[in-house]
Amino acid sequence: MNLVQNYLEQVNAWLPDSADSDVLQELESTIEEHLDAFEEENGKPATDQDIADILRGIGSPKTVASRFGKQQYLIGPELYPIWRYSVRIALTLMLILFFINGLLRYVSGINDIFLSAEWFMGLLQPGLVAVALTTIIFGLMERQGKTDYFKDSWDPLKQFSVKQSKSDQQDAVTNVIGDVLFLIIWNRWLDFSQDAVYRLDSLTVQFHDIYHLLFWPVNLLLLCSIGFYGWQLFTQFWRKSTLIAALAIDCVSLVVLVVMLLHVDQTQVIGLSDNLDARITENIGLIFKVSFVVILGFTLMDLRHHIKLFKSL
Amino acid sequence: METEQLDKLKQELRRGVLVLAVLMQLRREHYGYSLRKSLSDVGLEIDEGTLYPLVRRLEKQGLLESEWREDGKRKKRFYRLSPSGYIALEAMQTEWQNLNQNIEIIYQGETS
Repeated sequence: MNLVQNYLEQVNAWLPDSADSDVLQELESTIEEHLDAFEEENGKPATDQDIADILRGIGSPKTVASRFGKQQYLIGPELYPIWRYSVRIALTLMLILFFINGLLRYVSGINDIFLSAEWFMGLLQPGLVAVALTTIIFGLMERQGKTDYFKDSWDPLKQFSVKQSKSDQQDAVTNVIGDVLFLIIWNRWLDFSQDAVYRLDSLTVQFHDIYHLLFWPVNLLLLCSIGFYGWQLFTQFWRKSTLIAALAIDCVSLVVLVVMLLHVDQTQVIGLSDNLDARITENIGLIFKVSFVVILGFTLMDLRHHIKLFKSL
Repeated sequence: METEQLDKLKQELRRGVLVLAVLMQLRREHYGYSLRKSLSDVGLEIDEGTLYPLVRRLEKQGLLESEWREDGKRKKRFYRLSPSGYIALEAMQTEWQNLNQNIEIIYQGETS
C-alpha cells in the first residue's frame, strides 16, 4: 500500500468526530507539497525512506489527528478543583461509613476483623469506587459542558477564613484517633447498651444509670466528632460555620463529660475477680474519675482554642 | 540554566506571538504549506501539527476565510484574512507595540 495513503487512513482512524471533514484532504495536499519540494530540491522523486522521513516530520497519525479535535481532557481546569475537593469528601464519607459499618459488625459479633490488616485492605475497593464514581460524574459534566454549575461565587466582603495551622491538623489527627479509641472502649469494653454494668470475667462494676442513658448520645457525639475532625484533615481553612460546629461539639462533649464525672463516685465493684489487684477494685471510681478529668482537660483546651479562632474572624 | 528548560521558555514566548505572525502573513493569500514556508523563511519555524489546527481555529473564530481552489497539479485550501481578521490584526499589532515599548522601558530601567 502507498505509504501516504496508509498514513492518511491511520490519521482518519484517530480523527475525532469534531474534526472538519476536509482535514484529510488538506493533509494529503500538504504531504504532496512536501514531496514536490523534495523532488525539486534533490532532482529525483522521494523514495519510501524519504516519504517515511517526511511523515515522521509531520507527526504520528494519533498526534496529528488529536490536534484537529476540540481540546481533550477528562476534567478541565474549571471543574478540576471541585473534582479534587469532591474526591476528598467522597473518600472521607466512605471512610466514616466503612468505619461505622465495621464497628457495628464488630460490636454485634457478625465479624471480628475490625481495625485489622484485613479490614484496612477492605478499604481499598470502596476507596477506588468512590474516586472512580466521582471522576465519571465530573467527566460527564465536562463532556456536556456543564462547567457553570460551580461558578465561583467568592465574595471578599463575605467569606472570612483563617488558614489552619500545622498544630490544627495535628489536633485533628489526635482527635480522630482519640475518638476512635474512645468509641471502641465505649462500645466494646464498657458497653452500656443494656444496662450500666461493666463486666469482665468475674469482675462486675456497677455504674450510675446515667451511663446507660448516655450510651447512644455518646456514640452519636463521637461519630459527629470523628466526622468533623476527619473533615478538618482535608480542609485548609477555619470558617465561622466550621468553628460553630467545633464549638457545638466541644460544648456538648463538656456537658456529657461533666455529667459522667458527677456520677462517677457512685461507681462500685459488685463482683470481684481474685486475680485483680485489690487497689484497683478499691479505687475503681477514682480511676474513672481521673480518666474523665484528663479528657475534660483536653476538651477545655480545644474549646479555648476554638473560641480564640472564632474571635479572630 | 539547562538547554531544555531554556528551549521551553523560548517556545512559550514564541507561542504567544504565533497568532500575530500568522495573521500578518495572511494579509496575503496562502495555503498551508506555503504559509509554513513563508514563516520559516523569516525565521519562525512552526511544526505543521501546530500551524494547521491554529489556522482552522482562527477560521472558526471568523478571523480567516478559506476556499478550496485548483492550483497547478492539485486542489489546495487557500486562507486569507477576513474583515474581522483585519480588525483583530490591527488591535494585536497595537498591543504588540505597547508590549514592546513596555519591555524596552523595563529593560532600559534595569540596565541604566
